[in-house]
Amino acid sequence: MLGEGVVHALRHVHGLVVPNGMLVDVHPTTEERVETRCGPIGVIEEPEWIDVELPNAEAALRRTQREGLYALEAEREYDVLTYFDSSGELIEEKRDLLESQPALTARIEAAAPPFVTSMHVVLRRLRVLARR
Amino acid sequence: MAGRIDPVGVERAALAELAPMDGLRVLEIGCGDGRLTFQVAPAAASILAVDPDAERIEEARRSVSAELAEKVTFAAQAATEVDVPRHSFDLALFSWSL
Repeated sequence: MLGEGVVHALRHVHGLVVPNGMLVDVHPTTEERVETRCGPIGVIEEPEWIDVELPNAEAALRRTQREGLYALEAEREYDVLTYFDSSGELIEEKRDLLESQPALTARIEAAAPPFVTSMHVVLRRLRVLARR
Repeated sequence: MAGRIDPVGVERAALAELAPMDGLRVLEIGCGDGRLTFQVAPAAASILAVDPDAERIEEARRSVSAELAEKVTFAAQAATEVDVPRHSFDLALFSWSL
């Protein structure tokens, strides 16, 4: 979602949830790192998402907090790991992103499986505030 | 065969601890193929899970178990298209979708 789209969505959802209900936001905060047992072999880059969409979404969430729609109550960060038994499985699942990264694709094809990808994720719980 | 995401349930455990959904009416935004939906649905009272990607919604519908089918509804919609009465939900979950 783009910035204004996120604000619009958060405002719309605010009306759908009971006052004092909860908003839970879970999203990655990093691009996906690829590793094998021998160590890291690269990052699946998503420049538009990491440089534009993610900061815009974070800004939109802060904006709706300033508007008095939500209040942050708790936050936790963790890594989500995904396991792949073969290079083909990994390349097929990430085909859209890897098309623009031939060097990383070649390193994946040359590496010995299994593969693990990881993304750092933030989970936030916010209170849905009643309209003043 | 697709990769096995979070097989040890780190995310499920974090959700259960920080945002328990026991008995709650949940609106899930950006449910995709239902990965998180199926993790939180057993505790929730009901879930309306939406995603603008109709193909992924179809995938989620095909994957739902008989036990969860009665309380989970999937719809191919964006968040702003959810048209239900005000205050229909106790909790809104944005699943990797903001």
